Amino acid sequence: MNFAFTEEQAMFRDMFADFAAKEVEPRAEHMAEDEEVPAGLLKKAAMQGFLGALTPEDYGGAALDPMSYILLLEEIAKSDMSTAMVLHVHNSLASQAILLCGSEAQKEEWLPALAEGGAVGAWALNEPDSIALGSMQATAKVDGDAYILHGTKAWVSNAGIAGLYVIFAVAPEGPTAFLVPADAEGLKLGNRDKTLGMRGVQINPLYLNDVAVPAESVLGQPGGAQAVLDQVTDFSRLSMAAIALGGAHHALDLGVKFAIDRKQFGSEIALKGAIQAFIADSALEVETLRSQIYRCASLAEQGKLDREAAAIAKLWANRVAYQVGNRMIQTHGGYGYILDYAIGRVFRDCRTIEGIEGTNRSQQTAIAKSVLATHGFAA
Amino acid sequence: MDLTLPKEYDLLRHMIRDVMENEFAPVAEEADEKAEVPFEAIKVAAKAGLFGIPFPQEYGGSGAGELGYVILMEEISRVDSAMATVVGAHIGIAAMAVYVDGSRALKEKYLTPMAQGAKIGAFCLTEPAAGSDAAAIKTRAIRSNGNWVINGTKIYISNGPFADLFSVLAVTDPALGARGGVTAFVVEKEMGTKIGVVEKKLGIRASATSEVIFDEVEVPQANVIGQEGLGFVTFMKTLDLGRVTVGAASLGGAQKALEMIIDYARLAEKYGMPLAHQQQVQFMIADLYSWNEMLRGLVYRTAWMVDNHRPFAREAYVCKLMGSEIASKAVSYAMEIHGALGLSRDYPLERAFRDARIAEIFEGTNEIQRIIIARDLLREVGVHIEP
Amino acid sequence: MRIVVCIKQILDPETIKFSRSQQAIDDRLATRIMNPPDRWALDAALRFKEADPSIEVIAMSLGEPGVEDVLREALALGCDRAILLSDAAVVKARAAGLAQIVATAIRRLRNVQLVMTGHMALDTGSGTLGARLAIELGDWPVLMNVDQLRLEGGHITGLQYADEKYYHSSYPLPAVATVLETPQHPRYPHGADIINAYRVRNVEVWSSLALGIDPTTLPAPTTGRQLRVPPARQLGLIVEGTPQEAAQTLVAMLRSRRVI
Repeated sequence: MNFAFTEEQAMFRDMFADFAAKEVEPRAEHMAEDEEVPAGLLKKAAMQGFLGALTPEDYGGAALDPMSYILLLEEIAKSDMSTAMVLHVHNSLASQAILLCGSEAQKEEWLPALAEGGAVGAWALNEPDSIALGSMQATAKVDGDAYILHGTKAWVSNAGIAGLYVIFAVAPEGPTAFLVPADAEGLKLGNRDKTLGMRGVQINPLYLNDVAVPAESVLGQPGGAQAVLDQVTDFSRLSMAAIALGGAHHALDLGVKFAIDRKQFGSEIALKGAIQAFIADSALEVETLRSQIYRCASLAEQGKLDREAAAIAKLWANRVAYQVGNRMIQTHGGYGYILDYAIGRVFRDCRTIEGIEGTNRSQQTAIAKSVLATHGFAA
Repeated sequence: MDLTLPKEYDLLRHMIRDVMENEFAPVAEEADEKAEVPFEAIKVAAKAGLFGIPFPQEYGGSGAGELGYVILMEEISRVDSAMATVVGAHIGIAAMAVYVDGSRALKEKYLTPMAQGAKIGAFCLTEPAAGSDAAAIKTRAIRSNGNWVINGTKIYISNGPFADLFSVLAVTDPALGARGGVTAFVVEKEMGTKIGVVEKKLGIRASATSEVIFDEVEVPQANVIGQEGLGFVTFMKTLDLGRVTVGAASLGGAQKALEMIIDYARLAEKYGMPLAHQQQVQFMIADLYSWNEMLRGLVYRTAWMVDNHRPFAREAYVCKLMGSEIASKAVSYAMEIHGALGLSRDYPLERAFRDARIAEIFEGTNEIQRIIIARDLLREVGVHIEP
Repeated sequence: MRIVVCIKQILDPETIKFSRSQQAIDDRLATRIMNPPDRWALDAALRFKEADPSIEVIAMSLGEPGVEDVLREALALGCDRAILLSDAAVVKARAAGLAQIVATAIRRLRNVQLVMTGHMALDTGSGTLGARLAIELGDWPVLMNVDQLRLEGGHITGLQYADEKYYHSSYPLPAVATVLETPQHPRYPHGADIINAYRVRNVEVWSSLALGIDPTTLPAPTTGRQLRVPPARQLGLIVEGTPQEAAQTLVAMLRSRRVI
């Protein structure tokens, strides 16, 4: 068992950290205020290969191994969770789905464009009253060689900046995933969803007003949406967990620095037992989260990442991000509540993780189901 | 032991809820987003006497005591926590400091207009180096021609940008420090206070917080609150009262969160049935209800102790500590249950989450509350601790 | 001059639950409030008082001792006096009997020029008190369902709503007016007035005996025989198809059920 990074992974991590410090960190507060990740920053990310992070070189990607990719998200999230989230939706969902489920033609059409940053990927799965394929209302009716998509998708991350949407709708064959270019006729963006945290991520509803798409735009098989989700869900949860890890690490970092600077009752508050308990508990949680995430990344390298391990990572990530953010804003006292200090933004972002791609409840259900199954019990 | 509330308090609660739901609820979201204080609604609240609820009628108040004040804060927070901060800073501490130790003349001059809402108050204690460690203040008042000249900067002053009157703590004798060398004053805006940086905040954004700068501000001797040199005692007594109402405000917020959870659990479906049928959700509801009821008992009992002149300081710390943590927990549960909806700024939960977070921080962080409760208990067995 | 405002205490409709198993109203958790239209009537009366301080506004209600709370609320809002008509005979009276008792009390007060009340009671949905009072008081003119009331030159004028239209109406005093709710929120009582309404001020309690009413002469009270909660509504039918298809299906269905 070897817990060390390869030389390449270590080098990548330094490079990601460098990019985050130079390009992301200085813009982080503005991105939260302007509620966008600027195109200029994404262009720079594309030049570094971050928009084709997992894409093979044949399609113009950087072909990072899963561990390096997780490090990318973690390092970027240490500076700004929104930027990491934009990369995550683009890479872990849109590009991955095409890479793992797409036809050769689809790969050639989309992967290079996605990798170069010519098109940002978005993921349109949720609906106002549905977060699962079973209750999905959007329809894809067959019309000759085409499908006509109709319905409303909700909480579409990257919606405002996307060049490509992966849209889920119910075809006669069952729930199906489609690749739809942003300029398709009948596609309409709704008003921006304003969110608690990760404000840089542009989230909107997406209206499908009889969008005609050719049969070739079906991703995987008609009726094969579940197969697409099965391919991407676990890794996607893991990469969300990596963003949470970066956020929690950042929060801890900010809290510790503040505690060293701040003096009350004649000494640095870092010397007070209560603050040390905050720091120790947070470090404990961050490091155990990191272990689980790196273990999952290592499983992913071997193609063995499973539902349970990924759900454990995401559930723990939800909790750690919130708890560490919460303790560190408390460590800041009144200063934490003032937006001149980064901790306020990080706290908001950390809390936002939980509501995206798997709440605590659904992770608990997935974990329990899996654990019970090992005892021969089908829940 | 009769624990029913006298009926006038039911009507008082009814009136306050009416004002909050009709005047504040419709503007709360926009006020938060734009970080603007809803002055129009505040005028209506003042007319209904909301700013004088605890004070005697001879000073323009309602004469409803601490019990009335607890109800006020609970009902305000059910709708708009930012307003609980405006009101808490104004009456709970700024006006309260004048009430607890001011002379009759000082009360007539300053408490009455504050109770009527004609003037808004701010409580000036915190300084850059004096947060939890309040005794470390540096603002200085020096005697000059029978008056006092105040110099110094106060930070994070709620209501600072629009207050007319400031209850200010300043050092009058550095040799004595907090033990006899610190004095409380009422300072009028017209005496020359200046507003420094107006802070951008994570939550309670419809309240306004700023630096208040005293640069050679001359204040008459008559504006000393209570006895010269005993200002620290006045301010600490005032904060004791304020803590009770942080508990009350937390109770209102927690109650609202519970109502939102129950409502959502009843309606929202997951896996083909309402969330209410999930045991995890049921347990959250049950726990939250239990905590709220404990908090309610604590807050109302403490208010009764205040009104009946019993020592209440330790209970007040517990009100602030438990109240703020229960409220945070309540909103946190609500967030967890609402999923993505809880993250939306178009839904009031997101604002409640940001707002609730301040209660664990302001009027003394919860760490300080814990230290003081422990110090108090340990002192009884002869152990003396330092923070 | 004196204005009497008749106020009813009702169960807050938002807090009432219906128990299907018991076939009864479950009011255990219900709160009691001032009938909202009456609050508007009171608000209008108090505006007259503001314009002319010589006007005395008297709130009047009828019922069990607990009804006193709405009268205290009326005192807090600014009424000069509050009178509760209460004893066993009075409590049992309904509609017609009620109007007789209230009219007797109003006559006892002397110099009452205007009687106001809400246009209806939100609990029973009944809105006849105003008209019944007008008859009992000796055929006083009555403005039903009015808004924008004004007192001028011994007349009461207002915008009267009837048959889906508004009419300007004006009658000489003494008169009765039943008041509509308006979008503008009625005044809030001041905190101090609330406290004083309970701690300082009094609600006068008048019994039928004091009013010289012989309970046996009152019209027989309404008695309830049975209360039934309507059955739960069944889910309706959604007619599918294009608008044209749906319309055809719907017409066929209505025909087959002989609705059209």
